[in-house]
Amino acid sequence: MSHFLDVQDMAVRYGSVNALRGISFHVERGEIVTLIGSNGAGKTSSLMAISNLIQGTRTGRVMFEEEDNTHFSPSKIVKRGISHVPEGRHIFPKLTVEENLLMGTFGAVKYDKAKTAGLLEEIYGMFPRLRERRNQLGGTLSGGEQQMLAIGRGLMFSPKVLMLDEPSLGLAPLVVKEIFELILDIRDRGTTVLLIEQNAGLALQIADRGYVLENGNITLTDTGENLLHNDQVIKAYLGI
Amino acid sequence: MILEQLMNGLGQGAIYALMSIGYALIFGVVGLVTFVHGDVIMLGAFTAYYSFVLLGGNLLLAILLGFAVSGAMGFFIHRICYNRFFNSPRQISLICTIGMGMFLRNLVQVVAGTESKPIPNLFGSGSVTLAGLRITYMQLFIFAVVMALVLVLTIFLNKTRVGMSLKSVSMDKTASALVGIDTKRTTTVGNMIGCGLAGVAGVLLAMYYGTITPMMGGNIGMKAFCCAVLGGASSVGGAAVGGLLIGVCENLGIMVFSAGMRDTVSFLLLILILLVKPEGLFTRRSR
Ligand SMILES: Nc1ncnc2c1ncn2[C@@H]1O[C@H](COP(=O)(O)OP(=O)(O)OP(=O)(O)O)[C@@H](O)[C@H]1O
Ligand SMILES: [Mg+2]
Repeated sequence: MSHFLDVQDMAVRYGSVNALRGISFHVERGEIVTLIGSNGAGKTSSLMAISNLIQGTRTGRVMFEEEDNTHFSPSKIVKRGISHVPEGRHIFPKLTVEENLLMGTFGAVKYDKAKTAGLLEEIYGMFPRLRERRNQLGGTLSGGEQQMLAIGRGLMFSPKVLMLDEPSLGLAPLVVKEIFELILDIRDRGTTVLLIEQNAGLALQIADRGYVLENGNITLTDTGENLLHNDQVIKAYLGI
Repeated sequence: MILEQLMNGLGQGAIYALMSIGYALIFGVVGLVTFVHGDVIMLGAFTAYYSFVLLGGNLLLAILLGFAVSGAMGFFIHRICYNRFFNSPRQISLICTIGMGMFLRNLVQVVAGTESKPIPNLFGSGSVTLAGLRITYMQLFIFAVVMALVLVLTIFLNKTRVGMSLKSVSMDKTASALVGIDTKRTTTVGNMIGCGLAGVAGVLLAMYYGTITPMMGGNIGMKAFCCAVLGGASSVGGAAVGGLLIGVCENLGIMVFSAGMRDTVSFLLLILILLVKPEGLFTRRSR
């Protein structure tokens, strides 16, 4: 049986740096899957490889819904329904919150006004704080608000898969909790989630399955629950 | 006298504004300075010359052709200097634009000869007097063309899908790609429009100066660079203001010094502003 999103034997090099050494992982429809690993393990590279945005060389295959996406352009990949909320958020600083969200619809086939307004309402429903700040410039938002905006923008075209690169980075614990609850909510609304985190404890709590990435290799994979109680994971990532 | 010089400055500044708007557009989408811009302007000037010689004194036609020829050149510049070196170190593209500039200069020398060419003055010496201020027909025409283009460009950038893609690519390439914008196509379009505007600026410069040479691009390109830098490098509105500012300062400056000091004035201004306020000028990260 083929997988919903299937990354096969993916290797990434930046000059002499081997960021990924031929990893394979997959995500099934409706799952939350997490990749955990320490700094420089290759987590960001994995997502960039799926989005075909690697600034280096890449080998391997990306299958999505039984179609070979490997050599699609980044914009085509978005149009196929894969949304990528990048590390560092990448908000458009000089556009307002609402304009940022509207840019999110660029990936879709042209939506009409009513459909766009409906999507906007849906996102504002999930993130009331964005509605309050709809006319504020993206660059002036707080870190947590920017993260919400980035996720909101990523959801604007009703993607099939949402890939999140360290959504908790630099946020206060309370905000992190809020964002993780949102991720569960997003999954319950029918969007598959591929989550990258250094905060392994939290990620494994909400994930159906997880992969542990070390130096460009996958060293361990299991259900989130089992990984949470795995001695190796506890020692290396949960800091107990 | 000083008012008249001010008017001259605004007229010339309007042309500078046009060429630096083009420069800013290109800098925005490419994220890198270009050294071929002056020669693209020169190409527009020679297009005007051949349009006048071969097709008669039709101003609008010359402007359209200037836009088309230089815009098409923008396509090739993008193909040759940027697209090929997408994953290479950035200085390679930069050096490639220098080479491209040399190529264009020499190509025009081969085709048109090295001597300077006269451009007929289609406006005569006619002028209107508004509240005691003399404005030549030439200046009126320049204002009209530049203002119309700025208006169209503003609407294009803010109201159309392609224009908004251009703006977002110049803000953040990665984010643009991740919302589904075809960044390669958008960068191509940005180069073509930027070069097309440079072409029109070349047509207007040719008419304004009355003579053109294949070597005119060097100095003019540096000026476009100055104006764009003054205005914040990738900000279209800022570039327009920078262009007007330099045009006015040059023309007021030559009242104090001499006509030969024109370029000295503008480059001095650039150095001064970079010394006083460098941080606000290059605020955009490249890439
Ligand atoms: N554009 C690049 N050029 C050169 N090397 C890179 C580039 N991007 C990443 N690397 C290197 O590749 C390796 C993996 O980087 P990657 O960003 O995928 O790690 P990560 O797991 O996301 O780390 P972090 O948790 O710090 O974000 C690192 O050694 C990094 O230095
Ligand atoms: Mg990372």
